[in-house]
Amino acid sequence: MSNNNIPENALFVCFGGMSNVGTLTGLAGLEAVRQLEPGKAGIFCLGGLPTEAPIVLNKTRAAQRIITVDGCPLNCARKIVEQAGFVPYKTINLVEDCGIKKGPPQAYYGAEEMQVAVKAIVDAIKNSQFSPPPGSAD
Amino acid sequence: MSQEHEDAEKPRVGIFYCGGAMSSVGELTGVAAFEVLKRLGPKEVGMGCVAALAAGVPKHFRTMQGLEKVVVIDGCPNSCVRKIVEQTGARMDAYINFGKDLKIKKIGPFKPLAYSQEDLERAVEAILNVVQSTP
Repeated sequence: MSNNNIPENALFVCFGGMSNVGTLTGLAGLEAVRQLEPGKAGIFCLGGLPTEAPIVLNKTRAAQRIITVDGCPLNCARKIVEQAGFVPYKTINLVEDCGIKKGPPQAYYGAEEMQVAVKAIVDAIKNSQFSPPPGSAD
Repeated sequence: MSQEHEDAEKPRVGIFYCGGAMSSVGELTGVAAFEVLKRLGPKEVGMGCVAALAAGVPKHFRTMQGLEKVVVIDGCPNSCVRKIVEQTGARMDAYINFGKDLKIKKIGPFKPLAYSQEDLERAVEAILNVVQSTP
């Protein structure tokens, strides 16, 4: 955690409820944050970006990196982050990057899918410490 | 997307929840909504994708418009979901704000699971009442 209490990595998860993979982004994001050391990552409010909530915009600007986690190929979280003028350091898509099958919201996803999704998020954050934040050379 | 997904039966009531995790009440919207889904089943309620609404995905917009009732749930006074629904012209038949309407305390930042069991029960009860009330 930086000295202004902002997590180093801002996670924006889709957490959409119309498919199993959308829901999984929210649950896997929480588990990833729990597994990482305090201050490494926090889940931000995706809804605060298109509505220009000042507290969300300010905290997002203060984070060192942004990582988006989308469930399906629509990549809504990524689009919202980019439309708000931010550049993600890393984008994760559970279908395209993790091979998890998109299904109806009540479709079962098991411990294996959860583990794969959590690992993708945790790895992205752990690897981020070896790269400078986007724009740091400006 | 699988054909099975395309052909899935539509629920009677749709719920747009905030699911923002910068505070306890945002996360609680998702947790409470899914508890309602667990209790009532997928024929009665289904969840919407707020992100898809904000990103302008037509199919997701249309799907929610075609349901019998749409319930919108925000956690905190920022009321982001309500704003997104209003900005996009999507449907909203009932609205709950956990902070304003239920006086559930917002705890944060970055404490998504800091809500109490009592808060969860009150939130679930409020959603159940709105879902099951006559339009």
